[in-house]
Amino acid sequence: MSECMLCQTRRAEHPYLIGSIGLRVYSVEELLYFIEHNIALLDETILNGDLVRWMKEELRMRRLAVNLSMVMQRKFSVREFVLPIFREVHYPDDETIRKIDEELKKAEEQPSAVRTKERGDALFRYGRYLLAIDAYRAAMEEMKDTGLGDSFRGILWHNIGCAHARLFQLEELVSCMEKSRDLLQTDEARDSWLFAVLLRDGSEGLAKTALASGIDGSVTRAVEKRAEELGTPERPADLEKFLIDEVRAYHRNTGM
Amino acid sequence: MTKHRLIIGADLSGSRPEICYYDKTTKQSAALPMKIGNYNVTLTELFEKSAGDEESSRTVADLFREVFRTFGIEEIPREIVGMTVTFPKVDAKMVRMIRRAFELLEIPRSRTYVQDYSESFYSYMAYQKKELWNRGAALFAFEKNRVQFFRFASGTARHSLLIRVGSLDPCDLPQDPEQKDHTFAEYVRSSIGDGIYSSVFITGEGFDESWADESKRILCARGRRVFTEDSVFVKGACNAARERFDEKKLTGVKCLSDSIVPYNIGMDMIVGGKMAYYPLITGGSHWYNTTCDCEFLLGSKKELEFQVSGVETGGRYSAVMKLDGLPDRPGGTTRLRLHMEFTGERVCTAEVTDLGFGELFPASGKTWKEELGDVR
Repeated sequence: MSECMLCQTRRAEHPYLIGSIGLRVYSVEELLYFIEHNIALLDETILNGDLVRWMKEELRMRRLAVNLSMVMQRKFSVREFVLPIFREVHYPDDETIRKIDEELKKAEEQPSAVRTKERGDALFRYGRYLLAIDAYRAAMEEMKDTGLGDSFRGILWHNIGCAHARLFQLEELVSCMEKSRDLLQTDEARDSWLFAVLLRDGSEGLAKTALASGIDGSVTRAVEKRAEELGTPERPADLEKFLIDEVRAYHRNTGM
Repeated sequence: MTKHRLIIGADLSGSRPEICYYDKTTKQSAALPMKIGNYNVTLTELFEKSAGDEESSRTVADLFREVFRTFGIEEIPREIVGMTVTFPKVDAKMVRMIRRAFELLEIPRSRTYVQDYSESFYSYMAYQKKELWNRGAALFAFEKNRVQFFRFASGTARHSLLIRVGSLDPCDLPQDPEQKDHTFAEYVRSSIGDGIYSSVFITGEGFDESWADESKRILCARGRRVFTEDSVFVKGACNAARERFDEKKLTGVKCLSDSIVPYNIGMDMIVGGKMAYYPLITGGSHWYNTTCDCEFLLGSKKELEFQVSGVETGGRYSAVMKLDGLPDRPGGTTRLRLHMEFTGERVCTAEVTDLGFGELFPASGKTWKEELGDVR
């Protein structure tokens, strides 16, 4: 958006909470920005009566709230719900709104398993690892009657493994990477599994596993070299704060 | 009991505050000194005793209440149709004080107004016959040994009748009659000189023909018609109230005075999905009454561009305000609050605050202030 744009609606006193990622929005423009950049996350947990009530009571967008209430009286798509909001506010600009419309149409045409997987990816990016795992597992259920085969399933196991890694759940990580390796049958998938074993068991464990699986020593050396190249993270200036933040994020993710 | 329907003008200056009323029912009007019962009021004393705006407001409200009682007004909000108060010069503090006094009297703000002497002179002349002002009018207002000149000039701008009113700094006159005459004559020379005026008025206490031989010659030069008239400003204030709240005879006439903002300020921005000029400050209103508050999303540049155009000339120029230190964010994700107000007759201050974009891009809290300067 190159030009200034007058804000014709007020900011809310009480924000709307997007619970899946813990984001509070205070204005309709923030809501639209979130929608534009997180199409994969849009579902009934966000687009619902609470949102309509918030727009009516906090933002005083009464006419729009009435229109959306009418949309909600029948089965509706994400596109049918969000486009009226974009068109009411004209944010960010008409050209971008047309592109968003195209993206929404493409998303509707995708198999639901793919949409759910993308939802998992978005949750992963926001650090919501448990919710991401739930989404990936749901995608696995949804793919049963589709043409999506082993390669899609293999990617899902890989991503579930990555989410477990972020939660320091190394047993689950190794198990998922193993399943991914079996389905994808690629060198990258094999290396990801070996990397997981290195994390869990160290160099000795990696060597034992490679031997038992008939994997050449050059492969394991390459995996170890890649691990070294990652380097050691810098110690945070405020270590205590860093640890507190990490623990909080962990509890938020796991509900523990 | 008969209920009045009065339009009021009040001059609250100096040692001789006055009130002028116009009765809508009887069509009668009169100007008289402010009295409480049989006692003339001296506002200078009252304001000296008051400390702070609230006390001054209460003093003024009490004064009006008593004066209205003298008129026989019992229900002020119902019987006062509209009211204008005038002062020699007005500032924002004075406006706040008078507005508070009106609140205490329970007269709705929509039925009240404050203006300075220049504007009251305009309101007085605009209600006179055109032949008294069509080539300009002059006023010399005396308060004892001090005199001030006011000018009324008519013209046209973009098919509208445009009246410009202004004043010069007052002149203190010596006590000695001969010196007084000479000093006043010099002041007249410097203000109207050999100019052509449809009329010249003299008002207030302090002028006497007995000492003004030289002055009279200069006043009456070029065939100028000179009139003495009592209570010009309070009558003008009452005319202003009649115009604003009742008769509206001067629709389409624009008045520019030193206290009127002579230019428009706006920004080109997207409004309702379309690029448009968005007015922030509209010329034609008093500087002390003029403010603007809005919020908008910044585009891709870290600067604001204001479009300034003259009410009279229509000429336009841009004033750029840089927002140095604003955090980097994508276009359309910086919400800014803009507050504009006048700190003086010709100086408009723009204050911008970064409100960020909620939790997506937290506010930095930075503010920027810029004076848009003496713009003509």
